[in-house]
Amino acid sequence: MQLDEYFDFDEFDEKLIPAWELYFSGQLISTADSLRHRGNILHNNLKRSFQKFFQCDNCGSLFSENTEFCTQCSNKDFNCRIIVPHQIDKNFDPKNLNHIKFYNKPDSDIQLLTEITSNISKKDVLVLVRDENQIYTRGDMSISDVCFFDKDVWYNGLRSAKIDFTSIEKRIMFYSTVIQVKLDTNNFDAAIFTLDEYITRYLQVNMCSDENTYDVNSNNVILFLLTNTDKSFSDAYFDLQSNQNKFIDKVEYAIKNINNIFRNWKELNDIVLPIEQINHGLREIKL
Amino acid sequence: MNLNTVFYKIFFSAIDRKKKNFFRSLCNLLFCFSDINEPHTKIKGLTLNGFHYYRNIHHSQINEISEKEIAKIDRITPIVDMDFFPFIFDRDCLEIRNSSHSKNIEDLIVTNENIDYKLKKWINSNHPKKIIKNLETHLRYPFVKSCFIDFNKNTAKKLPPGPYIYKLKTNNYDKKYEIEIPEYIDKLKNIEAFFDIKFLQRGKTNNNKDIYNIKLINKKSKCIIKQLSEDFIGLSFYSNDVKWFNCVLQNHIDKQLPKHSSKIPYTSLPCLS
Repeated sequence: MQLDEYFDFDEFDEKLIPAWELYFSGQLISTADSLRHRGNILHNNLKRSFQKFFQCDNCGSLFSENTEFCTQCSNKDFNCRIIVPHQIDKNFDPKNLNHIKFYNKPDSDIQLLTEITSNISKKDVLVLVRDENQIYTRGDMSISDVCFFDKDVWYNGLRSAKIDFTSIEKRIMFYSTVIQVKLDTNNFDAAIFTLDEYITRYLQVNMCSDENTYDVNSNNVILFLLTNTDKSFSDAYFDLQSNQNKFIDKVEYAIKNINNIFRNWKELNDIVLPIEQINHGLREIKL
Repeated sequence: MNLNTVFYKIFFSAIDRKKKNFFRSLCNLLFCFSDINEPHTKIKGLTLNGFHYYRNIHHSQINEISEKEIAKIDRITPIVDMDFFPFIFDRDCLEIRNSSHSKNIEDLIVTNENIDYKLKKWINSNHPKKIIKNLETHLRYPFVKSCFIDFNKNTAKKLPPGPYIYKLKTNNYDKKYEIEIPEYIDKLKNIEAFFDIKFLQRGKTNNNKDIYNIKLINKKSKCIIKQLSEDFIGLSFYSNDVKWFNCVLQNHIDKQLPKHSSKIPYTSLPCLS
């Protein structure tokens, strides 16, 4: 994320706006692309049996079950990781961790982890790894269908899905672009974290920082949030907020951040308008 | 009309941000904002966030952060009890949010000046390379037929005196006038006539997709009006000059800002509707 490459600071004043816009669309398209790509990898690999592990945020130790605190460093923050056994024999018992092995040979999509201080013996396990040796987390799985639409194309999609958008049609008359994101309600804490990290932050920084969004033909954005179940986004979000204490710092931070960002968009005269689907209709999200 | 927040934005060069001393003085500055903002926004610490990086620090831990970590950080937010962040530092932009929540207009103006004073002092002692600072606020009010005409009569007249460039834009129309406020405000009569015709046409053809946009520019201070949706109009003020900005606040919002209310109210802007 070297901003200097996109900026010529000597001509900061004049060239600020085009640079931001280019940077923004590039970032968002690549984010959407990589999320889709990751979704495919996970979809293919998770057909095989896998197990969730919990990794200490502080020292990196792995545990097969979620514990209260890390036995190595007594830290309380854990992230859920996914580990796929390399050779699945019939007798494989996920609890028997002696079968697990850590590789360091780089493979195309599935890479094996090199250095991990662990209380699990390093045998026979294949770990899915994304860029920079980060293990796949629940957050990667909990967000999908990140798409960029023109509003008319989006309308066509809604019509064919028989979703009634007449209630909101007047409200979004002057918007031209739609960003669609689908969230997993079963892992909603992780989904919120990923939404904050990958989507809302880029929108926040790049859509709201310049006054030319007030030009006649400016591209204001609709953020269309879907869930994989019947539950609407705001219902799931309020449920999550009400038991906030159960979550790690990062999720709490993400919730606060999203509250702030949504409020900010509202104050900047709905530069980004978040909407959700509810019973074959659409509704504006008010947090 | 709903006055929400006055945003105070400063853009730095990214090269400055990665220097150790600069980062430390920035953190120290950020802790100061607990005094300027309302007393209940006590800043307990800072959350440092970046690409695969997350850390919470207290005031005493600022010096513990190494240069490697500083390179990773691209976002600083305060740890506060409430949901509202009084400031956010994101990549190269520091955004200080002076909320109008439970403040009257005099408080708001004094706080603006305080923030400006603190920042000027900090900039003078740290000498960051390129810096752009900007104040902005955004208002919104319901759309009525004569909005744009009222804009000329009331909003434009009340702007601080001086030469202005008046830019008028719709989807297929773009024009520029030079006027002096308040002496030559009558020049705007042409524009009123233009809008009269447009609104008559709108009634006939039902061509609702026309978006209107007016800008009044004096050096780096701007006043922008834009139709947001069929029912709402947005009015925004931008300036790098605190005096200009406070003058605008006083002329446009005075007495309409309710004192010590628990919720941010929606009221109408009398001078416009």
